[in-house]
Amino acid sequence: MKNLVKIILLMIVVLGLVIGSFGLGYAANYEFRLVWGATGQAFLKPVIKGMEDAAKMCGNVNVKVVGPVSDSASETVATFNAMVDANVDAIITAIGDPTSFVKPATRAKEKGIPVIACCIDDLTGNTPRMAFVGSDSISQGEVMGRAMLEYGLTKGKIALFQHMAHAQLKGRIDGVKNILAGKGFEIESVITGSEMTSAIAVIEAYLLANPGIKGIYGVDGITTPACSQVMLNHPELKGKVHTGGTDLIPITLQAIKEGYTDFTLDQNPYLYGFYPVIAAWLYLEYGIDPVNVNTGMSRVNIDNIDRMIELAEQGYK
Amino acid sequence: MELSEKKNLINLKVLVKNRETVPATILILMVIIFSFLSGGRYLSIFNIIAVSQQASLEGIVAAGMTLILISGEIDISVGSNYALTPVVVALLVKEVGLTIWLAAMIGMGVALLIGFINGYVVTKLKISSFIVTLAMMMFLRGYALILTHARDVGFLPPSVFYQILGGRIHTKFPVMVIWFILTILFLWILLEKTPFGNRIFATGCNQEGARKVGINTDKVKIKIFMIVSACAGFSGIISLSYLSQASPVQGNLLPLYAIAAVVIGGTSFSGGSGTVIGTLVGAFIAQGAINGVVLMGATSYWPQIFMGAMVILATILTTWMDKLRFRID
Repeated sequence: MKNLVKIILLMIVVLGLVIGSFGLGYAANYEFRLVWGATGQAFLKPVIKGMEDAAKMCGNVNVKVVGPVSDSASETVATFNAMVDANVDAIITAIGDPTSFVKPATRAKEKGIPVIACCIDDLTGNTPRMAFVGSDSISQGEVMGRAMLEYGLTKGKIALFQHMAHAQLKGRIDGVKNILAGKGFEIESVITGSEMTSAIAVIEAYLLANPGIKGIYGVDGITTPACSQVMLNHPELKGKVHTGGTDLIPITLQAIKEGYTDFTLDQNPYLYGFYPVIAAWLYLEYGIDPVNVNTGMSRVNIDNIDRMIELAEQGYK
Repeated sequence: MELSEKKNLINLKVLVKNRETVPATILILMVIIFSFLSGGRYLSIFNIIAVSQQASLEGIVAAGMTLILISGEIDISVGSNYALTPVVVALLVKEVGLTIWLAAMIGMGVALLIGFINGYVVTKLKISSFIVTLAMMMFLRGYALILTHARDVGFLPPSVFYQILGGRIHTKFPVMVIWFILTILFLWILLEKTPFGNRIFATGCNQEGARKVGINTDKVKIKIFMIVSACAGFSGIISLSYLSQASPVQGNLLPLYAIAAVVIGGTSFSGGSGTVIGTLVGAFIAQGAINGVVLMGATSYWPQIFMGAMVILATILTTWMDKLRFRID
């Protein structure tokens, strides 16, 4: 009896080794990490969907998002360093600061870990990333400025709201100013804070302090819906004050549908996740260097809002 | 002493004895100053409605917080509760397919359970309420992040739900202000007109003494924790209706703003005394200050400095009035 048990146990071990040996024949999984500065943003949903779809296409890639929930540059850099130490196969990140990521990205390069930037790039060129997938913030602002004019904004005072002082948001504001320069506009930029209810409070107070204002615009995913909410709170302003902004947040989409908001701009965040994963995989598998990809900005307005809502619910927008 | 002099003295005594005197005075002064500096825009209908709406969400939580502070305890998990409850409601509708009303009831049930756990651990295990609610704050926040995968949950509420909680009457007057006033009224009646209210004051004033006269202070505290949790959960559900999204990271500063409104409103931080009417005034002072400072053209970071100064000022004045009250008695 004892011998029978021993034989059965031996057979189990051998069987396990045989089955396990088949696993050695498969290609190892790649571990890609998206290091993000504010993982609590709704904006990340299509980015993650893009990453996951690309990973499925590649077949042997595992993707994860890491980073602080609320915007914190120092925690983001710490997470980046942790991923380098963990020897992940590729790091995808938004370079929110032109100096903070230089050392961590250099360490990654020395270890042979490709770093691909998405959404925000280091315009100084000091951060050794292999490619950038996105569009520069000034171009984004210029697209926004052109949209403002196309939707009937007339000369006068306008306000551009941002939830915090940030290089990317400043870039957008500068882009708007480039387009509106010399056309009789007085442009003021205002910081609202990162909580939606606070942003709404600041915008409402600003409206009251500036009667006759022609437009209130958000340049990020907090101030754009906040401006839309203010318009919904004060329907008497419809037709008198223009509004618009960036990103596809439900309240913004609802306000577009009801005619309170002129437009919003979609950065195509799905591509921020999709292209970098494909690029990193091609580099690791076949040695093909990643290339820059300009993802542009899509305009969302009353004409295409239903389709956009459908795509947003599916996670593509 | 002549009759008119006696009447004046009595009126002065009434003013001094009344805990709402300090916050009301601060509010009146603030309104006068901002109205003057803004050329009258501060007192426009547009602005009054805006400030009222802004004060409501924090004010509902602050109203519940008043009871907790009177009883000698504190609850800093209200911000995380304010985030988790609407997340639960939104996910129950979107992922499970429940009706909004059933989901909202379950959400309120979750909020009450949180309050019960807080109260039970504080009273039965004799752990400081600051520590217990600090732990609960971190737990609830983490749980909200796990449920939502750390992302905001977009949620367009059904029309009736929106109209009843987050909408406006005739597109003008925000319904949430009515809910705020009703909450204040309910808690005022509970505190000032019921035996339970007396038990709250007694517990906060002298817990041992209250026990000796037969008050079950543990039960009183558990109920109060459930009340403040219910206020936080209810405010969170209103925010879901209003903002069309449930964010796992919202309400980070809510405990501080709620406590500031309560303290500015004249409630003693050491327990035993306080007023929900004062909290109503305190909430309007807090939001009115933010509004006024932005109206003056300051950046949105200045209101926090202003509010900090208001808390100190209100505490100094309240302490001074307490001493005066003691002398008069």
